[in-house]
Amino acid sequence: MSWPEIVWSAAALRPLDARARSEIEAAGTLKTFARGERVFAAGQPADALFVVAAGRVGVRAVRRGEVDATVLREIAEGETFGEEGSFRPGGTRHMDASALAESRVAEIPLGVFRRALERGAGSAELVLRHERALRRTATRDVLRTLAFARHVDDRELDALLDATEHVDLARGQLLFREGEKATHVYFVADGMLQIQTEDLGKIRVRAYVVRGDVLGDVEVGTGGAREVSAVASGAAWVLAIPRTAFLGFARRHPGLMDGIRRVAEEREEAQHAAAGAMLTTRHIFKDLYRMQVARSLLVIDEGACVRCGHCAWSCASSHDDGVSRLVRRGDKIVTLAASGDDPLLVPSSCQHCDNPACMIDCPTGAIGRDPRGEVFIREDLCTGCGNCAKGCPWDNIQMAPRARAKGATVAERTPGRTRDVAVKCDLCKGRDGGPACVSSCPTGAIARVNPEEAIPEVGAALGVRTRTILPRARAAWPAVAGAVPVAAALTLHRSTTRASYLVSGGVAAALLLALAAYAIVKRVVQPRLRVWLIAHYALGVVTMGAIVAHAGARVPPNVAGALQLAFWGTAISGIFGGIVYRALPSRLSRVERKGALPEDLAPQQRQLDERTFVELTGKSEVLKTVWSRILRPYARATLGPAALLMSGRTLGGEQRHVRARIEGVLGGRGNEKLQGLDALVRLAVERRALPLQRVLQAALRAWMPMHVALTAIVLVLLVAHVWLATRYR
Amino acid sequence: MKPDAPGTPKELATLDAAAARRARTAPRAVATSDVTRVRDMAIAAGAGAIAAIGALVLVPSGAPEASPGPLARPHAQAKLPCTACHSDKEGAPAPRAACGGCHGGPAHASLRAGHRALAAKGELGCITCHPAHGDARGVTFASDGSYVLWSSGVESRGNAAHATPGGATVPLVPVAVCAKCHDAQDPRDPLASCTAPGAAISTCFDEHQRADQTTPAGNRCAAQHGPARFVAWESAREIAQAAPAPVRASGAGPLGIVGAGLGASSLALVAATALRRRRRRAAPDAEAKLPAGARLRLPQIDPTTCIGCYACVDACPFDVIEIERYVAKVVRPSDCCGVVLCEQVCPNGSLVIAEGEPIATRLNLDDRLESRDAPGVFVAGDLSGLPLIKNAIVQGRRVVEHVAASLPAKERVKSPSATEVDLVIVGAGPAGISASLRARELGLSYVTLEQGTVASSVKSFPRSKLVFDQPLDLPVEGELWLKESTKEELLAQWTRIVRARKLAVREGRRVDAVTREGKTLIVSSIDATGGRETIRAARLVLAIGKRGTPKTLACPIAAAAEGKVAYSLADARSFAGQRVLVVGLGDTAMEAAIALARQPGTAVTIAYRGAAFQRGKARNVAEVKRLLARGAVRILFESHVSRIGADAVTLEGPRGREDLRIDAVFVLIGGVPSWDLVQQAGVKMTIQALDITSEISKSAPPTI
Repeated sequence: MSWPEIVWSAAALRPLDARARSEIEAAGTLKTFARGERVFAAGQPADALFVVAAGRVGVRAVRRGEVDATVLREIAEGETFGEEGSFRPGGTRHMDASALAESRVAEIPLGVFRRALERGAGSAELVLRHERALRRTATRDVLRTLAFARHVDDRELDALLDATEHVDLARGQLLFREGEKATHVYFVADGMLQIQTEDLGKIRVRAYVVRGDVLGDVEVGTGGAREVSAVASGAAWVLAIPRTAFLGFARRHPGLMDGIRRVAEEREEAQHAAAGAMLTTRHIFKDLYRMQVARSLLVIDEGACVRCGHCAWSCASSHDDGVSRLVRRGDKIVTLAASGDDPLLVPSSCQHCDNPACMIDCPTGAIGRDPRGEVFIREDLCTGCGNCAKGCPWDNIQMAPRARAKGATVAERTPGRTRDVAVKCDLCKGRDGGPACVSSCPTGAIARVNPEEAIPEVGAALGVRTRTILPRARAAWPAVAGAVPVAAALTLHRSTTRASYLVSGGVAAALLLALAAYAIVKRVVQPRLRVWLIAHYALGVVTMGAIVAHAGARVPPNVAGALQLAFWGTAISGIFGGIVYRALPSRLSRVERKGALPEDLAPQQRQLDERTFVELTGKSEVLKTVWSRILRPYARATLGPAALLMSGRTLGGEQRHVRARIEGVLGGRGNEKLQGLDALVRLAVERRALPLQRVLQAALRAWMPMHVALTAIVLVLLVAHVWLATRYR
Repeated sequence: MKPDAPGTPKELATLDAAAARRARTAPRAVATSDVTRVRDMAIAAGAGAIAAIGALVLVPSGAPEASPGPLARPHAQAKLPCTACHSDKEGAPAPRAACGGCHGGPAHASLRAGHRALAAKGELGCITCHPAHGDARGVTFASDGSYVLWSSGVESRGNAAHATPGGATVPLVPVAVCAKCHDAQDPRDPLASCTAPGAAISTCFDEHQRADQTTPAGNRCAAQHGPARFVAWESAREIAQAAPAPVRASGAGPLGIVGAGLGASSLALVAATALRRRRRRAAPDAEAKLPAGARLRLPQIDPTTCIGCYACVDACPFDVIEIERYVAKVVRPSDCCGVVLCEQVCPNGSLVIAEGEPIATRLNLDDRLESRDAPGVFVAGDLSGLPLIKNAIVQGRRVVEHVAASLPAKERVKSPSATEVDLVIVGAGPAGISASLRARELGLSYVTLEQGTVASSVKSFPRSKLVFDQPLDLPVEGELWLKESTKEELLAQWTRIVRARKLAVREGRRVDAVTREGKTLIVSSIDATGGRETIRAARLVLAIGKRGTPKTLACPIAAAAEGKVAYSLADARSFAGQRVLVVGLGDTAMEAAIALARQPGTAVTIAYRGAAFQRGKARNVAEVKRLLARGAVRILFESHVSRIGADAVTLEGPRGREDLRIDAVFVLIGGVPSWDLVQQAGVKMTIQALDITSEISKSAPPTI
């Protein structure tokens, strides 16, 4: 059944020829909506254009400064809506649309529409004109969501719209620079910009502005130069209104601009309060954009994370190609949401952005977003060009060899010639129990969260209320404490008769097997591992009691003795592991700046020395003396790392401490020649912390191979012991 | 409306500083230790288990399970089951009852009053002194005069000094057993009379009823305790005193088994790690691809299938390809190095490298990079055709290896001096340093002459430029290369190596002539003051690059500004968004200015002494004029640079002095091309007909 003619009478669709129409009809859908039924909702990907075939549809959004949604526009038959995606690929809807009466609505996928338009419209000029028309409609919707639109009639709005210029910015692009002449007032229609000033070559972020915010109006009013720079944090769409048009508008509506200003100022103040109140927010403020666009950000509580890497391993093992989509490297953020004072690590793993940069860069459209916002790569369409991997600002996509079906050669598997394919987190699609990394964490330190909802500082900076809290790891000590009396009671029983030896031995063997089965649970089943680890702890304690009850303290010179030795070796290494798992993560996170893998630490000493070399070149003699007299001995002191551990200071605290010491020695002399000292102090402290990091990382890891190897030996000896003991009569 | 400086990566502000890196290479997935160590642990566990099984099988334990130690030899020989002594129902067996069954109770009642009293109370039994497991000891005599001295599971044999009745067994009581009650060290203790000082065995054999007394013992006992008992006792005493008690071979105990398992697993762990490291190092052998072909190779792009994905653009280290109208296009064919990176990354095969014109500018070198025309002269680095740092490092190393191989020990200089060495290396760039380092390692006497300072071409790279790991997976030998480092890090590494290894690099000496005297090459060089020196050498390595000797500005340059001044343009893209001054208006200068002006946001100023365009290819002049008209470049005619300060460059011209705030200065006012020296040394081009050197000299303006 072909679509009603009224659909094609919509302004945007009029130039399409018959072929384009049939293509669109094949790809699109014609749906009926009951009164009040929702056509699309805010937050969904904007990947389709809608035309009302019958009935009426209302587009509604919450105006700034208001609480309830208002109907911004009523769409009659033969009119389009949902245009915001048509000129900005990869965008997200910010408005809701629902039927005001029973309606029939045609949904046209934007990709198909654009292609049809480009082919059918003939000239590029025409396509552009069409896009302009669609953008104008969308812009009108955006302007209507601004607070002042309430008091402005349509004609006035059209006049403003006529004057509006559009600026599309990519991540890192500059909207205006500090000191430039103010020529425009800007409204952010989509995306996020950071307002920054430059201070001795160091960039300071002052504020972030998001959709609906106005910027640059003060300077335009006074005619002065820009006091700050504005840089796009991610792809942004900004409405620029020339100075004259804006001033005329402001004259005609004297009260309105004050209102806008007030909203903006309140927001800025809230951000300042959030940023200034605690040290913690500074980290988040550094890359607020990341927090804003992330829908499912992987965070690891560094106070609980034991650096076992099981998350990465389980990721690798749950994908056919054996490549981990999660690498435990990355920045840390400090937040009150985490347990204790420990920061959260944001490892490199796809965060499923609202407007994915990777998706825009993909030449074949292999990257898509499903309705829940999950970003996925269609491997069959991926040509391995690497654009997405380069486009991701946080290195969350990697290139990896294409997974091969058994026996298939590369050529058979791949339509083109590429060996490589882009891989990234797919949230373990199709796996029961959610992402493998989260469920396989033995300490429950890892979680996938929407930062706007789960991290209060992000919510405060963005003006969103935090709803959920970060999941906390379940404590292990109650179970262990419960197991101790059981073990103690067992030790009171001593086997004497053969029968009682058989019984106690059987119990001990069963417990040993249960303990060893943890390895299978961990490797193969991968359930919520935290619970199993706690059970493993408790079982371990009970088993120690059972072994004492069975064998006492004797170590006979036979298999039984070897088993006894191997078991206690396993137990001691396990106890050591439990203790370091509890005690070290928080200590380690204090002396780490970023998430680093053990193999990253090996070359770091040389890198630090190199950076020091770079920092020292061309600096003053005073600084060089300070380095050689104070900082180098400090950095290389043999017991330095131990002292750092004992002091319990963080790297930042240690830096301040060292800085104060240097100032004490200098007593204010040569201050003007000390430029670059901070960087050197930072390097010296990092250099001192490096051996400590290595030792702590090693302590967290080294016991495990021993524990595992001894377990294997225990199992072998257990079999031998049972066989020999039951055979001998 | 256009935003300011579109796509300027410099403005990435507080956002990630790694953006520049991302602009070039897509990150590759690597197996981190998180993933690999799980596999390693499985290997370790497997090895431990296998070793434990091996230990169990190879060295079986002497003691049965569920027993405190091996059974005493006579009991083991009689194949007594556990139940012979131990009741299955009860705990510890009643010793007297258990032993009495075979040995006869009363016959073995102790003669000593104290022991007897204790036995009566049940506090002392047979096994108090004669443990059945573990500590049991004794001597058993055979009929042929030999004996067996046994203890916990082990035995030693010998021949008795006296003829001793066969079949007799004399149990020995270790002093350790007596020590439960007695103190052997105390002279008042009755035990003292039973033990020799330091002996481990009690030598009293009068504990039980005498054998020569009438006994009601059964047949079994009579066989053992015949009248010859005294003889047996005497022999046993002698044997116990003379021969040390046999010791159980070490390693078979519980510690041995567990230790073997643990040792094997740690060995397996180390082996797995080493293996992986080796595998990672063994990159695909790209060496074969290295020597550039004899023909010019250029990318051919099929515009109908090209999807405009930028993969080739990003892969090319020399900006040969650009995207125009959504399709890749070769825009700078002359810069193409013929490495097939772009072909490798092209996702759908739209780009292939095709063989084209024969390359005229190649030096006539053999596979070992030795000149076919001038034996003994080797070429390494940029001159050999592939202008990549990594290539230079590898070639520098290889060349010296060939030199060492071609120079037998008897031809080497016996006593190297400042004027006579095996090898002269000209140039201390990446190839030169690499060659020097290898020469030092191989024990060749060498000297490296450098006209400027170490790695000055790399020094002229823009500040913090990332040096990329682009060409294939070229295996790198030696320690000069740093992965994904910046120019400063690379330089720091090189300077440190030059200093730490005490490489014989002589800076500030320009080689200007090479002559030949028989097999010996005579290298003549001058320093800044004009001091001339000649060095005699058997071999010469030319690692001078293509830069030649640039002319420098006569004006003072502030120390802080030295990093800003460059004599060649390495990568125009790094200067996007910067303020750049180009000094000179020859072809080289114009080409640099054009490349720079093409970058987004770059403000290019050209300073030139002449009053108008005077020379240069028509194409370049037209392009610069076009840029001038568009306002993309600014030309200051009749001006010269009078000072380069830390933050400003002072120009003097007809309009007086002018201070410019400049981020980088390119001094491109010509110089002596490196080909001159190459020709001097006798190295020729592959195609003689084409006089390429004159072509190149022409392109560089002699003066301004």
